[in-house]
Amino acid sequence: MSFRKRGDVLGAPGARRLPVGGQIPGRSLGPQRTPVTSNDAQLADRVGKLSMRDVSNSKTTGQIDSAHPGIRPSPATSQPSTATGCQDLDKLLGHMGLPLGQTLLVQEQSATDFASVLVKNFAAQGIVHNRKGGPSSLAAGNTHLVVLTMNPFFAKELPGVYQGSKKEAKRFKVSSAESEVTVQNMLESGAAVSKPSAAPGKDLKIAWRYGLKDNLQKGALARNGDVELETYPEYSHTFDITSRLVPAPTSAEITLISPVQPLSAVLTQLQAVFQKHQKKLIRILLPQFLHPVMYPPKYSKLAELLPLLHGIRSVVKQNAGRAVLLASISSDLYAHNGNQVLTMIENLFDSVIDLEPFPQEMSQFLERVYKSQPNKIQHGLVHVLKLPLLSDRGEMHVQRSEYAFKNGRKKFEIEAWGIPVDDSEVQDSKNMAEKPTEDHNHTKVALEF
Amino acid sequence: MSAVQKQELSLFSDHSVLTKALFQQNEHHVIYVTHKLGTSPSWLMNALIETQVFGSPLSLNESHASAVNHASSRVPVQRSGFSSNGRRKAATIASWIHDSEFFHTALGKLKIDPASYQIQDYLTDFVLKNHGKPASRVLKSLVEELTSTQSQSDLLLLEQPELLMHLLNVSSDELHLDFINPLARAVPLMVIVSYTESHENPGAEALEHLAHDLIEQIRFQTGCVFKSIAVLGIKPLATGRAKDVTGTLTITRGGAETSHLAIDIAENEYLFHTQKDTTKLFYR
Repeated sequence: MSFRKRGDVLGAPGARRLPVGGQIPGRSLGPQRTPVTSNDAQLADRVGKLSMRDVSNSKTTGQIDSAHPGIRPSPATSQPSTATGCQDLDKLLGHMGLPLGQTLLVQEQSATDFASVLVKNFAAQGIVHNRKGGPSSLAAGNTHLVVLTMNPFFAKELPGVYQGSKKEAKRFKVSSAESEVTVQNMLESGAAVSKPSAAPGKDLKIAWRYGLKDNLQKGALARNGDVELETYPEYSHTFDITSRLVPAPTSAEITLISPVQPLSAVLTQLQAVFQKHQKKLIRILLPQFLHPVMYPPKYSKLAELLPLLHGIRSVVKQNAGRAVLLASISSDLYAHNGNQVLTMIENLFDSVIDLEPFPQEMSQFLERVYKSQPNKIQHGLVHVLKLPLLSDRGEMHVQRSEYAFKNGRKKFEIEAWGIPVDDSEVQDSKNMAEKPTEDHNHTKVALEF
Repeated sequence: MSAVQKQELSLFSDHSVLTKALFQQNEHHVIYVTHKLGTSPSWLMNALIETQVFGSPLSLNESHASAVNHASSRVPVQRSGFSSNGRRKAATIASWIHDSEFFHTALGKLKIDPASYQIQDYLTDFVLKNHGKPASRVLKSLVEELTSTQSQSDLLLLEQPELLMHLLNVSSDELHLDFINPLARAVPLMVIVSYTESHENPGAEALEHLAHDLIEQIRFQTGCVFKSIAVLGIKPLATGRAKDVTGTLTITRGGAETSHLAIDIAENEYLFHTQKDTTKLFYR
């Protein structure tokens, strides 16, 4: 046992992944000081020996450090998944992220470009994960980004992490200082525990009247969210689309590959990235696929298009333990021809969502209804066509018009969709209800008709 | 839900899934499976392979828990014609959309021994190996690969061979003549699994002027229907998503002659519900 200053943080930062149960913090200093990764490696080794069937699987996933900040097990299938950079999209996919080895296509109808927000957040999230180790680990890193685009400025257009208002930043600083495991904090918490009568609701017999019970419940709910945040603190970030990621990612973090080259050149370049960046999570992006500015007309033919997608899919599946792919496409351009092109593209992706921005009348209606709450106005519908892993197993996950999205400065939100009630219409119906006799007559007439 | 009686899958009038009559000497049959967006056919493919290995689709007919419990007692059916040099594979799977890992995981969950089936992975590196080569040569080598391994197994399952039309830039007629026909002649039973989303939904405004690619697709699928003795169509409910129903499985006769078979196709329509790797069949 060694002596520590009051303000010193005890244990390694990686200690959060160690099992919590039954450990006395003061005495477990020895084991905590050993590197966490070696523990995990031993465990993975043992697990690998236990199951014969999954050996190949554990081999591929074993390439990435298990302490990667951007990877967590999916609550649905326990497959390792990575954050997309948009928390609501993570939830929508059913895995709290995009499972490794899976591909996601974001379609967008009409001429808007909401999909690019998702694409940029996905890219920025990868860069932020990569920088978690501090500036010294930039080259070593844990994540690499590959963008199949002809836009040379893609790296400079990524959004920065949302910093919050000044007040929030200050509050965060104080709370993080309190949450650190220092001798002083532990003494204080110990003192709090030793006084059990200090429970706030103890001497208030009619607690519900003061709303204390509600507060407790709310606290419990919030704590549930905090548990997620505590277990995976660096998993997902919020990005401010009005800011820029500084410094912009360099060639050590991002590789740009032009998709309009001979097919074999694209695929060999892509495979070279995987070879060069061993033990890294590779996030592949295919933004604005088939956009006529970048892609020559021949790419709208299936004979050109399918080999490219098939090849990319093959590379992702080959490296299923450490690759994810996000593509976006504007579907209006290919909606003619009986949707043949789009259908074939959807077929080659594991998961597909479709963004349908509201037409003008709907936007005007929403603006009128949410006059007093402008931040509630949604911008369009989200249709789910396929979900990763689940759809492949044969489950039916086509959900049309069940979700809506809204894009804000700091968040791309996806929520359950319901047509809001127009207040003016409610007023009208109330007026009608106030004259029941007349109403009665009306129905009678209608029935006779 | 619990009140609904579970049904067992049967494709033929003798209540079997793959009747023994199919595997008699010198006879060749095709079964065509179509599926659409939202209803992946993996459970049906697994059930067919399971039937070939164990004699009946145990995990589909039993409840999942009891199927797993009985797993140890499952003995692979002894087929006549076991070659003396060792294990004869029950099935060969060739897929252009999924890699071998996908099937190993799914069939592993059904406790099917990996030694009893074989997977030809035509997703991994298919484009890198074959892009730019003359299509006829690629098709020929594919047929050779499948028939040489195929000489060891009775069931050949092709998943989305229609992708070959676009990957190799061949017409549907060439694909049928140079690929499907030689394979169908070499194997006792071939199952073709196709994605038919665009085929049945060509879009109202496009009906008068169909794109060339779409015509080829439809032509390929029509050819498959006429070659097969049975067509198994999986599609989601027309009314959309439901909590307790995934979709419908429709079993119909195909265009091929079945008079030489002693039994008929049991034409039928099931509802099915897939959840967490288990599928249940039931009637409306």
